[in-house]
Amino acid sequence: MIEMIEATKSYKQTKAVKGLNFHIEKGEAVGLLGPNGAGKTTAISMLASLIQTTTGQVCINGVDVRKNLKKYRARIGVVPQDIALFPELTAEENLNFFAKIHKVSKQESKQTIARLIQDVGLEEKKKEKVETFSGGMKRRLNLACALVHRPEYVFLDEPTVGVDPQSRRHLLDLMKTLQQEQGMAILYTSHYMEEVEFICDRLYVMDRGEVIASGNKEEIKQILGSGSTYEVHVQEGKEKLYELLQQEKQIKNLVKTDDGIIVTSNRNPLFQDLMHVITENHIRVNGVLAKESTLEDVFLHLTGRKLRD
Amino acid sequence: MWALVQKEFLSFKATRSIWLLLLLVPLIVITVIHMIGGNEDGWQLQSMNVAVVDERQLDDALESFAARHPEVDRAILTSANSLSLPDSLVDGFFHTDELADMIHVQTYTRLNEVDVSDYALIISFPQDYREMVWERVFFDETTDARQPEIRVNVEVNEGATEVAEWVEQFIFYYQFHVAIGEDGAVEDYMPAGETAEVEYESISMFEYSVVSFTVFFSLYVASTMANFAIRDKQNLTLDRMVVSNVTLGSFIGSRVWTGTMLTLGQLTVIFTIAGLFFGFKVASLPVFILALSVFSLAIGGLSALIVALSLAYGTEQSISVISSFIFVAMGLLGGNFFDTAMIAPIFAQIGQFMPNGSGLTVLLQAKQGFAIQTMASSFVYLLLFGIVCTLIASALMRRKEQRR
Repeated sequence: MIEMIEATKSYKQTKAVKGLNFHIEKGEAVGLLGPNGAGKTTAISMLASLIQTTTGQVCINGVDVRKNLKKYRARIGVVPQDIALFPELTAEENLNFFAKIHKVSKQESKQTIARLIQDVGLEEKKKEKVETFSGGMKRRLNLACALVHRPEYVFLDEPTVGVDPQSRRHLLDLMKTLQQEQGMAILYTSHYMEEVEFICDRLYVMDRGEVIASGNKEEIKQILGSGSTYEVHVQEGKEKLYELLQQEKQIKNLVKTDDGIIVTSNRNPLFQDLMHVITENHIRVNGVLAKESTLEDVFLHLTGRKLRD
Repeated sequence: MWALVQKEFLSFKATRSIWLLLLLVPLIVITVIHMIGGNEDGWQLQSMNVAVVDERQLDDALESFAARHPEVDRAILTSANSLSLPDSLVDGFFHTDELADMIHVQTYTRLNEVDVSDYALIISFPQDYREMVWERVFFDETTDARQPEIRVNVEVNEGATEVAEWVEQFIFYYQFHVAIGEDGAVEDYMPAGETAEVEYESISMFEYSVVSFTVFFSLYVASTMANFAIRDKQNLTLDRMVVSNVTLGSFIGSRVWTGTMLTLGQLTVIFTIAGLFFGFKVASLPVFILALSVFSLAIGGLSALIVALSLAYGTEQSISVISSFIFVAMGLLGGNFFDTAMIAPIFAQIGQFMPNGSGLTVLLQAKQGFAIQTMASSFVYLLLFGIVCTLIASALMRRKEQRR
């Protein structure tokens, strides 16, 4: 198990991460959610031993990783947010290089590289220079390079940014397979809720350098409870309703759709208040549907910001 | 570490612009110099009068020198005769088969005795010139003596400029031999108290240019490697290497070896091509290879230092400044473009502290067949230079690692 205990990271006057506590068990997939500037990348960099914690520590099986950094690094794989590849080398040469510096035996690296190239769908491109690759192909290779030494824990920092839907699906399936079939533990950060929901068993929600919620998907969604989000299909008076709801203090968020408004509240139950506004103001509606809470809703509820803000 | 070296070579192999800078440009420069040298064959020398003004004749100079240095054996002073540039010029250079029939030399002791309208070329040596050279050869002392002057009168003979250039080259080689041969000469002459000949092959302007330009362009191995390191930092592959258990120490070590091997490869290719196509020869191949290896190690150390500085403080712009200004300044002081001693001896002395200056001297000596003992101090200096650069680079990297 890898743990982060009361970890903080300060840059001069700014605290990028404040007293972070979280853990990743062997073989589990954990999501780290947060908008830009939440401190996710700093947290991953500390976990990856790229930067040191200002206070607090990162431990593996209860031992501070700094005590045997070499051993720790051999057990982790890091997929950085940016493409960290040698553009002038071919896909195969990149993989070979990372296998060599991890001291993977020739025989093993040959097999692993062949399998990884197949897994990320780059068989036809393996002899081509990375600089000729599309963004999606580079992302896939970026992931493969982190797996070449078969790490026990993989930290993925928004690995699907700028990836086409096909490559994205490919990457997600691969990560799911690695976690489920090979028992690789995954720490996954993303802006995309559906990715996190697909891959992760457990989540940490971060904002402004702190963990503000944690638990499994259902536990997180329960934070909002039921009946807090409604979809109102308006026949007449959509703009008027929108304006009226904007004045209601308990309404947390309003999103206009083609034929109505999605209303999210931080007070339960919302339904009665909503119906009161509609009937009092003679708004003609086709229907009011209770909407199941999503992680996005939870995030909005907790931070007042959208994930992709 | 060898994985890093191997990767660097793959990166170099895949980047064509590097080959252009490290191999093609010096080869083009050498080819152009060779062609310019070859064009001289097309010029026809016509009969020409040359005046050589030697303000103090050999006998006077010998007397004066003996009076000031009574400890110097007469036999050694006799040998000084062969080290006199005015006499070598008159009795040697202008007496060669190619020039003797065409050039008529008249010697004078006073410049005002010369009727300038009669001579296409007037070469005048200052009064203390001989003694300055002997002081340098026998006692390793540098004085601020004036340099010989060459006056050209093209109205008398249109070939005057051409011959003036030959004379300049002759003076240049003469002074160069005196400068780089001084250690050997002093060691051989002084303890025995009798004459001894130090023999080494002469060196042409073209050969000097081959060595000096090749040495100069090898500096660009260091800047190219620094550019690669900056790119590794910018595209986060350096971070990825660190997470993959590459210590910054082994990163620097790999840069030393890459720089060394790349420089050795570059020098070997250029000298081999110069040998095959332009007749560039070395007196002793093993000694020359040893000199190449030692110089390459110094450049390997320099490469590691520039890489470390770039990673600690640098950007691509700072590398451009190093390549554009600092290396050119080093090239000037190190004598890679011309013999800076001709401008001021202090420049040449400073240049010898630079790897390119020291490397140039050692490669020219090796090319001419100097004994290894004569070159030992330069070898040691170059090795120390490489080691000190590597140590500073390692310290910088350690500091960077601690800051993380």
